[in-house]
Amino acid sequence: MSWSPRVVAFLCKWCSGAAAETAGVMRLRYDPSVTPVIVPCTGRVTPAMILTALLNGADGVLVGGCHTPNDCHYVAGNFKAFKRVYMVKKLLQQAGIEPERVRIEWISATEAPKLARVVSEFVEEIRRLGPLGGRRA
Amino acid sequence: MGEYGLLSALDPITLVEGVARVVIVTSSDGGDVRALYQIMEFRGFEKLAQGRHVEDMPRIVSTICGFCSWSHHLVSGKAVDAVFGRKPPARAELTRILVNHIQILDSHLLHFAFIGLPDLALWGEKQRDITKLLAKSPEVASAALKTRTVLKRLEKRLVGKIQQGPVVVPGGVARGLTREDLGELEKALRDVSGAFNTLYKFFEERVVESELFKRLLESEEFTVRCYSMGLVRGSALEHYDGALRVVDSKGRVVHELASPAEYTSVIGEALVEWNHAALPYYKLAGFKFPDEESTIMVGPLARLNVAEKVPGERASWEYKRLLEAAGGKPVSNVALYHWARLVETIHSLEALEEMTRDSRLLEGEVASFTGTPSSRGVGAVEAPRGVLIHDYSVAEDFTVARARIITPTTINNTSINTNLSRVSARLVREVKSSGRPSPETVSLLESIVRSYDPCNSCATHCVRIGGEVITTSFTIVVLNERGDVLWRG
Amino acid sequence: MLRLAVLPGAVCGGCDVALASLGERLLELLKHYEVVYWPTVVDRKLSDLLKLDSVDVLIHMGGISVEEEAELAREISSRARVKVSFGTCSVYGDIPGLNSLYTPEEVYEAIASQVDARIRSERLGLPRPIEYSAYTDIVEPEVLAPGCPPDELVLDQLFELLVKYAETGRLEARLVLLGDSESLCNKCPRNPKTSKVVVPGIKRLYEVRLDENKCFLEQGVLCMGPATRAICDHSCVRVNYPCTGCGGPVEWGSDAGLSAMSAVASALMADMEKAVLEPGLVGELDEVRDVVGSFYRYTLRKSLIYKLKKARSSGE
Repeated sequence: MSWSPRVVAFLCKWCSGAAAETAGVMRLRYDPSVTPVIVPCTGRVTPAMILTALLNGADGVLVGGCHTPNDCHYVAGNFKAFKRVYMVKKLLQQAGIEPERVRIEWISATEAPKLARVVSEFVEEIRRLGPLGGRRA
Repeated sequence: MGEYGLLSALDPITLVEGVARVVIVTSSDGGDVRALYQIMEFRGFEKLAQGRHVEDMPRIVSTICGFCSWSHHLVSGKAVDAVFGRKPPARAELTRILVNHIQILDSHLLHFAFIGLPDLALWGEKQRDITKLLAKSPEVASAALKTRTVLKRLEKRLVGKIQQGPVVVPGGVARGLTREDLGELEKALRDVSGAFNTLYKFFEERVVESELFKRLLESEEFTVRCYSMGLVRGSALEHYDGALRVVDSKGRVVHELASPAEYTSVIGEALVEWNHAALPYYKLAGFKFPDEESTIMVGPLARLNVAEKVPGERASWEYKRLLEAAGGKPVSNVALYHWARLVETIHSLEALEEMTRDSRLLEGEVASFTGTPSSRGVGAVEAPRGVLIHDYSVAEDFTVARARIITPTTINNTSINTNLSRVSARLVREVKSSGRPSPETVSLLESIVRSYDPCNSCATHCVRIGGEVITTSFTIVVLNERGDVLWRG
Repeated sequence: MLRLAVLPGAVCGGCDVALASLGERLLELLKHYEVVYWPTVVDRKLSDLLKLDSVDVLIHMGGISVEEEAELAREISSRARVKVSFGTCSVYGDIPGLNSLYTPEEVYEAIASQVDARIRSERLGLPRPIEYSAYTDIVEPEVLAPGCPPDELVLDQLFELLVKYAETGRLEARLVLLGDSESLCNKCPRNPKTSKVVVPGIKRLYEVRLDENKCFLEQGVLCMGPATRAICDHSCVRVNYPCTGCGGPVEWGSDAGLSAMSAVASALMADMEKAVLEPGLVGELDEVRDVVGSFYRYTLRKSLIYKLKKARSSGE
C-alpha cells in the first residue's frame, strides 16, 4: 500500500476560495490530494485548527488568503493569519516537525492558475517530506 | 565489585520533602554492608533547561523545589546576572537578600515545626508528626501552625505567592518594596518571633534537656567526620553572597574560593548507577565513597562549622551554646542540625528586623541594564539546606545551551549514607534473625535522614535508571540478593 | 469519619506547602476527615494505606515520572471515591512536562555528559523510567485544582468542596474544575478596558524596564493572561511579573499554548501591520526564540503539539 499525501487547504471565500472555483471552471488541473475548507477569511483560521488537521490525518496544511496589504475583505484578517501561521511554524520547528508542512499564500480571485500551481507544488513538497504520521485524534 | 544484593529499604521515607528511600546493600557473603539513600523522582531539569530563554530560568527552576523555591529562583538570578554581566543596584540586591532570609526562615520553621520537633519530641512512638504533637502539646502545635499562617500572608504580600513567587529579573528585581511592605514585614516578624519562642522553649525543655538528646549527641550513628562547605563573608555566617569555604574534619580551612564560578576546582560529580542524582564530592580528595573522608557536608551544621562567627546578638549567643553542647568545632554530630537550624532562624529573624529599618530598600533603581554579556554564568547561594549552585551556558541568542545544577541534598547524599551505614549492619542482623527490623532501628534510620532535612525534589532534578519495582515514599522493604521481598513495612 | 489520603507523585513540595497553608482550616477538615496518608506531614506508612480497601477522598499531587508512581496512583485511585488532581503537575504536567518532547535517554544524557566520574555498579533496583505524564493522563479524577502551587482562590474552593462532600456525600458536577471560568485578563488590574491591546513589539525580559501599571502585552512583554484560567488574584502581575500561565487553559481540554500564541500574534503591531508588512512582523515574532517555553511552560504534556509528536514517533 503506497502512501499518498493528504493536504488540507483553508481558503478564504473572497480570494483563494474564489480562485479555486475559477480553476475548476477553467478545468485547470492540479493535484487532487487536497481537501479544501472554505472560510470567510483566513483570519478565522486558528493555530488549533491547523494542528488538529495535522493530528487527524493531514500531512500538510495550506492557508490561502487575500494579498497583503489591502485586499482583505475584513481589512487585516490576512495579517492575523500570517502571524499565527508563522508562530505555528516556529512551534513545529522547535518540536522537531518540518515547518514546511504548513504554508500560507496570497492568491486573489483572478489568480486561478496561481492556485493550481501553488497547490501542486505544495503537494509535491509534502510528498517529498513523507507522511507525518499524525493519525490519532 | 562483587555480587551485591539489595537488602533493607525505608521506602518511602515519611516526613521529608519529596520522595526518597533507603536501600541497604550487602555483598553476597554478607560481609560488606552499605546504606544508600536513593532519590526516587525523575524530572530532568538539566534537559528541560536547554533551549529556554535564559532570563526565564529563575521562574522555571523555582519549581525544582516548593519548599525552597526562592533559593533556586535567587541563585538562578545570580547566574543570569553573570551571563548578562550586570550588577544589581543596591535596592535590588537588598531585596533579594531580604527574600533569601524569608526563604530560610520559612523553610527552617516548616522543617522544625512539622518534622524536626515531632521527630525528637515523640521519640519511641509509632507516629511522630504534627497531628500527634497536636494531641500531646497543643500550644506547641498551634504555634507551629501560626508561623505558617503569618508567613503565608507575608509571602503573598511581598512576592505574590506562598512558593514560586517571582522576584528576579536580569540585573535586579521586578519591583522595589514599599514602606507598607516593610510595615507588614515588621508586624509579621513580631508574630513569628512570638510563636517561635514557644517552639524554642519547648525544644529547650523537652528535647535538649532530655536523656534521648544527650544519648544522640554521643552516638556514633549520628556522627560523621568529613568536609564541611559553606559561604562566608569575612569569616561570618553568610547566606546570599560570599566566598565558598571548605574545612576538613579537624576544622582546618583547606579551600576558600572568592568566586563560586570556580566551584569546579573544588566540587566534582560522580554518576553512580544506584542513584538518580550525580553525587558531588570533594574533588581534591577524589571520589572515595564509601570512605567518609571524601564526603562533603553542607547546610546549617556545615555553615556553623565553616564560619567563625554569627552576626546578631541573640544568634551569636545561641551559636556559642550549641558549640558548648557539641564540645567545640567542628561539630560532627548531625542531631545538632536541628539546633543549628534554630541558630539560623534566630539569625534571619534578627537580620530581617534590621532590614525593616533600611531605607535603601525603598529608593533607587530596581534593575541594571548595563553590562558585558558572556556565554556562561554561575551563581551560588546558601539555600536552607546548604550550598546551591546553578551554572548556565548560553548560545548567542541567550537561550540555554547547557545547565548544571548542584543541590545541597545531593551534596549531603554521601554523608547521609555514611550515617545510615552505621545502622545498617544492625538492621541486617535483625532482619536475618527475626524477619523484621526493630522499631528502634527504623526510628533511628528515619531520624538520621530527617536531621539533614533533605530536599529530595531538589536532589532529583537528575537521572534515573531502570531496575526493579519498589514503591515510592519512605517505607521499609527488605529484599534478598535475588530481589525477592522478604519483608515490607 | 471519612478517609482522606494525600499521595505524592513527582513533586517539588510546593503543593504540600499549599495544602498545609490551609492552616487552621486543616483542623476544621480534621473534624470530618481522618488523614490516612500524607507522607510529608503525617507519619503513617504506605503499608498502612495499602491495607485499606477504600478511601473517600484522594488528593494526588505531582507528576508521574516512574513506573511506581503510576502503579501507586492507579491502585489508590481505584480505591478512592473522589479523586482530586491537585496542582498543575498533577493536572497538566507542569514544567517537568517540558521534557515531553524528549526520550528518557535524551534526558539522562544531559546530566551524564556533565559529570566527572561514572562508576558502574551492579543492578541495584531503581524504578523503571517511563514517559512523563500528568496524573490526569492515567486516571480520570473528579476534581481538578490547578495552580503552581494552587493559590488561595482554588484552596478556598477546595476547602468548601471537601466540607460539602463530607456533609452531603455529593459533588456539584461530574467533573469540577476549580478556579473561575474566565481568563485572567477579565479582572486584571492592568486591563485597559477602554481600548484594544496592541503589542508594540516583542521584548525579552532582559531588555525592558517593567512598568508597574501597564498591561504587560502593551509593554511588549509576553504574558499568558489571555489564555490562562483565573485561578488566582493575579498573584504574579501584582508583584510586577508577567503571568507565565501556571493555571492552565481557561477550559478543560483546551490548548493554552495555542490560544496564547494566537492572542499575541493577533495583537502584535495590530496598528502597524500595513506599515511594517510581513518582514516587519517576522522580525518581531523572531524575538521569541523559545516558543515552547514561553507558551507551553506548564501545559506541554497536554498540548496538541505533544500529541502530534507522539503520534508521529509511534507511527513511524
